[in-house]
Amino acid sequence: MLVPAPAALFTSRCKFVPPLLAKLLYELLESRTDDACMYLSGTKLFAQDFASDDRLIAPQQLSKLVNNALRCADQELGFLLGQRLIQSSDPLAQLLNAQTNIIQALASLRCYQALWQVPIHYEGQVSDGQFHLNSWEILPQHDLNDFWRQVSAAALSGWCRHRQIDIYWQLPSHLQPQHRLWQRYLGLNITYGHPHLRATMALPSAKHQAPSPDLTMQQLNKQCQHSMSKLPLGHYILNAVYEQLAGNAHVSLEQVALHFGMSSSSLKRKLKDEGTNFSQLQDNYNRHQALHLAIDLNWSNAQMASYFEISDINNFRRAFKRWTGRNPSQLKQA
Amino acid sequence: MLIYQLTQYYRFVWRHHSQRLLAALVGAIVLSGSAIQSSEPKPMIHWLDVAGEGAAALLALCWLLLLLCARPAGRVTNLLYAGALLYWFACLLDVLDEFVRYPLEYRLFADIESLAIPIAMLVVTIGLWHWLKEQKQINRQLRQRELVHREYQLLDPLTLLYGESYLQRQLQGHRLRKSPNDIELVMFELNPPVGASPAYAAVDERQLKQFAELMLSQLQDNDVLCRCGANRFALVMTNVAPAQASEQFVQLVQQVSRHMTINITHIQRSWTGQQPADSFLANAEHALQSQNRASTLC
Repeated sequence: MLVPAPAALFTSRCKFVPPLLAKLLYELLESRTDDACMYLSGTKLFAQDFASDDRLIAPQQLSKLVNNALRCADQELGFLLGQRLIQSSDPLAQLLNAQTNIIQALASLRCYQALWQVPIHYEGQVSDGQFHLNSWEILPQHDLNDFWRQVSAAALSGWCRHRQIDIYWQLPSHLQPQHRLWQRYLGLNITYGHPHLRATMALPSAKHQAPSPDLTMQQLNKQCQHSMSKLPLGHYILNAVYEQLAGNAHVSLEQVALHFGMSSSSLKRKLKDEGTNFSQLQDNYNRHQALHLAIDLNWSNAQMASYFEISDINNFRRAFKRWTGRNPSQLKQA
Repeated sequence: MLIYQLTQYYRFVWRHHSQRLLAALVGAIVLSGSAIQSSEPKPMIHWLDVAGEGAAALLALCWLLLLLCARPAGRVTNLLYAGALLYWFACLLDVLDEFVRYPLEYRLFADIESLAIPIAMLVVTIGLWHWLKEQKQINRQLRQRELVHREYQLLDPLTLLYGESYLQRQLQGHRLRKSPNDIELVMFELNPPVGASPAYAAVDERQLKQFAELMLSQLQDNDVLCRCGANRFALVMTNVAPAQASEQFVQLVQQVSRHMTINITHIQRSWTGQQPADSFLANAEHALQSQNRASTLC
C-alpha cells in the first residue's frame, strides 16, 4: 500500500525548514565565542535572519551550520541543542511537554515534524512488555549523524527525566569511546553494540496516562496547526521516500517515481543530488526491519525471507548480510 | 571559515594597529625603492640564496602580522613591534642585495643590513622582559583556573575553565612527579533549583557562567576549578586533609549560595595516584551520578 503522495517534494536546497534549530544552535555558539558570525560562513545566513521566525531556511544551510559548529571546541553542542529544543517556547516543544506518555508524544512529533525537521526517523515498537523507540538518521552525511543522534537523545532524555521514566539506551559501538559524554546526558543505563540509537522503557510507563487538561492540549494543537499553516505544503524528498518504504518495503523506484508524479530518472537525479540513491535508502530501511524481526521478534530465517518476499533462503542470508553486515545466526548469537 | 577568520584578523589589526601597519608598509616601500634606485643590478643572481632569504623575509613579515593580530596596543606590543619591524627590514634588504649591489661610497643600506638584526634582537629581548612581567600578572588572574600547564585547546569555551581532559593530564602528571598524598578532588553537579517547574527545570548557561565566576572569586589560591561537561564541575584542592577539604567546600558553597540559588550534589575523593587518572575520574563521576540519581528518586 502506497502512502499518499505529498503536495510537493523538497530537496535540501529548498527553503522549507523553520529556523528554530539554526537559531538555537547559533545562540549556543554565541555563548561560546566572541564571534559567532564566523560559524555562519558559507551558510548564506546572517545573524539578523534569526530575528524573525518566518524566514525559512534550507536543510543544506542547516547542515553547513552544523558542520561549522562541529569545529567548536565544545563536544556537547548536540546534547545542549536537544535540551534547549525540548525546553524552548516553540509550540511543538510545548505540546510535547504537555504530553504524559511517549506514544502520544511520538504521534504528535510525527504529525508536526515539519516544524522542526530534525533529520531523524523515529519508529516505536512494542515487544516483551517493553516499548522500544528506534531512531535512525536519514541524512547520507555520516559526519552529521552523530550530532543529530545527540540532539534527539538529549531531547528524549530530558523529556523522560522530568516524568521519572527510566530509559535503557542502546547505542552504536562507534560511540563507545565517548561513553562518559553520553553517560552525562543519558544516565547510567547505556549499552553499546546496537546498529542505531534505541531507547527502551517499560510499557506501563510508555502508556502512562496522567490527567492532562484537554483544553490546554487543544490550544497547543491549535498553535502547532497555526505554525504548520505558515509552512509550504510538501515533504523533504528523503522523508517522503522513507514513508513510501514504510508503507511497502518492496516498492520499486519506478513505483515511487510514478507515485510522486515524476519519471524514474528525475527521482534518481534528485536522490543523487542529496548524496544517496534509492537502493541505499531501501537497504537502510530493510536493515532496520531485519534487525527488528531478528532481534526483537526472534523470527526464523524462513519467516523473515517470507516477509521480505525472497523465495530462496540462501539469497535471503546474503541479503541480510548485505543489510546488517552479519548473518542472521551470528546476529542472534551476539 | 578560514577566509572569514582572516578577514576578522585584518579588521582587528586595522582597528587597533592601523598606524603601525601603515608605518611598516611605508617604511618597507621607501627602503626598497631607495635601495633599488641608488644601486646597480647584479650581473649574476644566486636563486638558492634568493629563495632562502626571501622565505626568511616572508616569515619575518608573518611574525610581525601575527604579533599585531594577537596583542592590543601597549608598551610590550610597541617594543615587540619595533623589534620585529627592524628584523623584517633587515631581512628585506638581505633579499634585495641578491638582485642589486649597494654603492660602496654610500654605506647606509649595508649598515642597516648588518646592524639592524642585533638591534632588533635587543629590542625584542627588552619587549620579552616586559612581557614576562605582564604575564606574571596574567598568571595571577588565571591562578584558580590552571595548575602548572597551559593548553588553550583544552579550555571549555563556555566558562573558560579547563575541562576534564586537562584535569586528567594534571592528575596523571602529578602522579608521575611526586607522591600525591595531599590532593583532594570534589566533583559536584549543579542541579536545577528545588521546586522549579519540571518541564523547564534545567540549569541554563548563564547560570553556569555566573556560578563559575562566583566559585572562582571564593576559591583559595592553590585550588583549581574545572568544568567536566554538562552541569558538572571538579574542584582540586592541594595541600589539604580530606576533612579540611570537605569543610572548605561546604563553606565555599555557603558563600556562593548567598549570591545565587544553588542545589548541589557532590562527592569527594582523595587522589592517591595509585590508579590511572582517567579511571579515577570515571569512578568519581559514576559515583556522583549514582548519588544524584538516588537523591532525585528520594
